[in-house]
Amino acid sequence: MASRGEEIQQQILRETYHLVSKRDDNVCNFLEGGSLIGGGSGYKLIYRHYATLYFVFCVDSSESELGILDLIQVFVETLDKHFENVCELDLIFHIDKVQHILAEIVMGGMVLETNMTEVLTHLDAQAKLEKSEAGITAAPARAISAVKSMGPNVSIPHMPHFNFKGH
Amino acid sequence: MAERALDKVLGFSFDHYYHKPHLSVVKGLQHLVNKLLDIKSRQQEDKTLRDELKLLKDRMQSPTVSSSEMKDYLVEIIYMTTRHYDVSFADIHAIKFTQQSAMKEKRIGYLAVSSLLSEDHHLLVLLINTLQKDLNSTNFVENCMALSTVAMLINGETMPAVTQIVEKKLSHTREAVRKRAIIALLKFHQLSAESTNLANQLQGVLFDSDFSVITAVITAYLYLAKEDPVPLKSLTDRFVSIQRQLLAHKPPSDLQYRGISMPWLQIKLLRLLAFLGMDDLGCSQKIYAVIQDSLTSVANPSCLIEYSIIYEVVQTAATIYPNMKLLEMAAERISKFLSSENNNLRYIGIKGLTSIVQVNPLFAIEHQMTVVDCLDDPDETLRRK
Repeated sequence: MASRGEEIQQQILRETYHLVSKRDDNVCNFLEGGSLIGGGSGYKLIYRHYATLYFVFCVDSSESELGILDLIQVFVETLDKHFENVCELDLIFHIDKVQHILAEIVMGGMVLETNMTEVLTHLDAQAKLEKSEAGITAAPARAISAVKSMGPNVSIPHMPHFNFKGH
Repeated sequence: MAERALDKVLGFSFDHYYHKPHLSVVKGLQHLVNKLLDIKSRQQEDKTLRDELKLLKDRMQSPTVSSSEMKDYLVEIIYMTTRHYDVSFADIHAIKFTQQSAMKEKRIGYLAVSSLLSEDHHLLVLLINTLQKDLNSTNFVENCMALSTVAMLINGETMPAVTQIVEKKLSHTREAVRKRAIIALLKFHQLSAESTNLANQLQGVLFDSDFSVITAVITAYLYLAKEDPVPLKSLTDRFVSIQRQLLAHKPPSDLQYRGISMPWLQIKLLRLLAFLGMDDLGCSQKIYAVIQDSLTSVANPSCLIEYSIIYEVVQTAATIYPNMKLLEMAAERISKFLSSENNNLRYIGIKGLTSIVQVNPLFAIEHQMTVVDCLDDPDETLRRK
């Protein structure tokens, strides 16, 4: 999607919401969008409705409509797996994680990955790296704070030199 | 089945007690959202948000802010971008935060930058050094973050600074990096085809062993084929062979979706082959067989993705040099879409039939009545088709 100014973005969003929320459940999930989005520029809105939420993708003619419908499903299933029974508040409180997951699927407006397992595997690999990084850098800090918490007048006992030869 | 479950769960919330203790929430954001949930008027909501923004601005500009505090503020800012208030004061903080060495913090920096900046942002040049550093890093996650950001924000001015480094990533050991490098190079090509050499770059990865990387390669080739299919015709056999591997379920089983091996890749391949075979009998003859086999592989469609493959086959058959037998099979399969109760299928069915009819109007006669019925349908999108 081309980048647009803030105001136009808001208008597009309002128009999208207006168009999509009017739709009944048994009609097409495709919209050859309103004046700002479609109508000649070749863009379509493809959406799926889950309870109170709409997931809307704006795509150009190079995407398969049915394929995108399933891609939305993959995205939502990935969210569900990651958040363990995803709910609306997850999407708000963890907006950064949601965007991170979306960035695994769509990159610069192009579809990057369509497989849920691949996405989750990569997310896990990143999480593990982040944890181990925190573990290594946190250890000295933890040790220092543990000693400090023993009190201001604690003197560190003299540690005997460990003599290998003796054993 | 999965759709039902999600349907029930997704609407569940809006009680304030958000109980997922294993997921740590940014306190500031939780506090803000809980406030917003209680508010009934637009003015109050606006005031609360503006107050919060002022608070964030002051705190972020404070010289004593810690990196973990800044991380939390940036998450709140990301939330604020969805509410469409002016948060440009945060741009510089986000850019600076990408320089953090802790991955957790760097990730938030890049996410914030993706939300806040665009390719015409005046501060974009400030990101270049960090991007170069992270692209060259031995940490594959940093490579990935930088590549994704490059694809999103690159412009004519900043592109030369990263082109060569990105190209080197095509031979990275991790498939996560390779596939992102390919998409980034495709974006460069879209920006300025003359200063890039996409076709050459892709040759090196066309035989990659990882199917996700192959998907990225085919995405790029599809774009090139749309521009000019002629130079790619020599690669037809390779594309056919990839599709054959998919039909034979060669890729690992966890790359299947609803029992089909990499359906989105199949869709792309079918489109690619369509461009190659258009108006070219010789090339088309090389692909008739694999197209037909793709059709028979989804003989009894039970889920949407199978229908989407049938549709692609139909479109491809209608685009390449006409083959009557193939077109008959295609017409027969697509007509079944029209009698479906699912409006999406009827819509796609009409699209498919339209294409076939443009090759040979005779195919339409049988289905005239069904198409006319669609004209009366309450669904506006369907009527327009």
